[in-house]
Amino acid sequence: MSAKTRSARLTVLGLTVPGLLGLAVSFVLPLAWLLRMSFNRGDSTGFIEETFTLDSYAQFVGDSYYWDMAWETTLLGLGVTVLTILVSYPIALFLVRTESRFKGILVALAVAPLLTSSVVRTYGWLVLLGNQGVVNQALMGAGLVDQPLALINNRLGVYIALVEIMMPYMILCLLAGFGRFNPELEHAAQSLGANRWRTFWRIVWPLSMPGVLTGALLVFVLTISSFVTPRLVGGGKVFYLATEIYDQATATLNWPFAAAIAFILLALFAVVIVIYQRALRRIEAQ
Amino acid sequence: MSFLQLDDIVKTYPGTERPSVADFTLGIDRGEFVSLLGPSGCGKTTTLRMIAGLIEATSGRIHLDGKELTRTPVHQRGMGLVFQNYALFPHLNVARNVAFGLEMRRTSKAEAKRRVEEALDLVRLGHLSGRRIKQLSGGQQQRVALARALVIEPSVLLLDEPLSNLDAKLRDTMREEIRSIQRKLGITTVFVTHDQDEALAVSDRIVVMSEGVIEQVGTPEQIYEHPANRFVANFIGRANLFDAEITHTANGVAELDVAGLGQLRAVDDHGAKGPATVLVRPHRMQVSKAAADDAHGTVETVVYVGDSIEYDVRVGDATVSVQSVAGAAERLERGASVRLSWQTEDALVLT
Repeated sequence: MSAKTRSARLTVLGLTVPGLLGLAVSFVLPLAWLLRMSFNRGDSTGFIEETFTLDSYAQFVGDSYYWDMAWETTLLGLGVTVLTILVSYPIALFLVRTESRFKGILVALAVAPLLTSSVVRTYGWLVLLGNQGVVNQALMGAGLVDQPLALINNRLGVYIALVEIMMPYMILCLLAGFGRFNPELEHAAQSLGANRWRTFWRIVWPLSMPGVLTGALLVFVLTISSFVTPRLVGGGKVFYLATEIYDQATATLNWPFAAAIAFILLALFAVVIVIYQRALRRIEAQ
Repeated sequence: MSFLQLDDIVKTYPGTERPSVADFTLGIDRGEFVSLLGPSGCGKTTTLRMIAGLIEATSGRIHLDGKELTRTPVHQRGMGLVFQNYALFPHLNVARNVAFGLEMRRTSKAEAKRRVEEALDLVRLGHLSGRRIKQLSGGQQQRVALARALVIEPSVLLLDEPLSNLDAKLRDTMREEIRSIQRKLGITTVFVTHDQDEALAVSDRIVVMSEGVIEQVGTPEQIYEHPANRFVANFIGRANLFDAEITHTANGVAELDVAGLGQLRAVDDHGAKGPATVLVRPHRMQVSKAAADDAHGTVETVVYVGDSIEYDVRVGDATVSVQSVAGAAERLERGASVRLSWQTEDALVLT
């Protein structure tokens, strides 16, 4: 090996080792510890028996209550993802196309909610959607409903709040994904006889797929792992895997079971990431 | 009415006072190759896009083959467009790009396949039909764009600076290729360019534009030999423009008193006495060595460019460009005192 390649290797090593060490200490080790914890035996007194058993996993798999919860969690992830794409896409498309000199400001505004903690935004939704909230007051004032609609303490509220909270992430991904897009492509398609509808489905939508996929992955993962919003807007009445982990860890004090659920959630992430990679490869193979 | 007829087309963008295109009237015959030529911002691309339907005219009418299509949307105009940046669909391969317009027309699969092959053969890319767009060179991409526009058998082919992203050598080849394909198909073509050489080389007629208005319409020869005004004279080819006083004019020849050069003659179509501008192309200038007290000016720079030698001659405050064939005349040194003149038929009085 020449001195040059050796020094190049040393440089690569020197640059990557600090990051890898950081990841090992802050991510891999705790995960390993968590995995180990999930094989211990716990009970609701907080007692943890050091052993090696699959009891916690068996408890999860054996109880239809947890299957329902896993299903609701998956549904929440998919639902919020699809709804977020639907509401974010027109905004992103507008931001890509606009020739306004305020374009920079508009993009900043679209992603500005990221500057606020999602806890604050969740409380915002509680204020808006509550029985005395702006939405219900307006609906009743307009005479559209007699009684306040139940918009919080249920799944509907969780969906509404999460979609709004996820929009900036989706918009950012879509904007980045539109990189290959050029308004001239729409003109070309139109000149070749495509109306607006077909121009969109044949040109704009396929070209935005990488952004849509990345956004979908991010939003799905953030949604099914989100805890604060389902907890607060759900009012403790709706249960998802993430809220259950919290409950098991802090209320029931059954850490091994909480750890087992965490790993089941992680498995769900893995499945989604595999699907994402497959889809992305298929798009890029075109 | 011509095949493609534009009448009093005006485009004023909201928030601007001066129109980008003003009172544009032009008739283009079937099979004709017309260039819109002018500096950037002259309104040539705006005009092309109004023909295509991508920009809506503020006022005026466009007729194609006797039918008005001023308000017809782009996708129903059936014109072929080639863009400066090619605008090929990056997610489709070469054949699918070319087939796009046929798919929109719901052409049968078998016929579409045949026509795509024909179109790709026409631009000599038949062997690359399965390639992805980003695997193609700039010249190949331009050919795909051309094939994609031609395969729909457009009524008019619109080319928006199609060569400006290519390197100089390729540009010349593509220029010839576009022209020969256009001749072969007999397709009516409007070609937008800022490059006068390009326009001169390929056009049946050239429309010279500046600041939204037509300065002159004519064949390449007419535009070059008989520019209508100072702008056209300066924009097309290199030009020396002299201030002169017409002392006598008759039978198309004017006798002139030219500032710094004395008594000379020039072709004159106007027949009016008084102050005038005279155009003489650098290669029509005659330059000869002279004694210092008899000279018009001195040679300031000498540039040898192979085929010819280019001199800049200082006459008073002005600089006159002279191009002489290398070897044909005696070579002048920098600082030499010279006399300048021209043959009557080589000089033209402009208004």
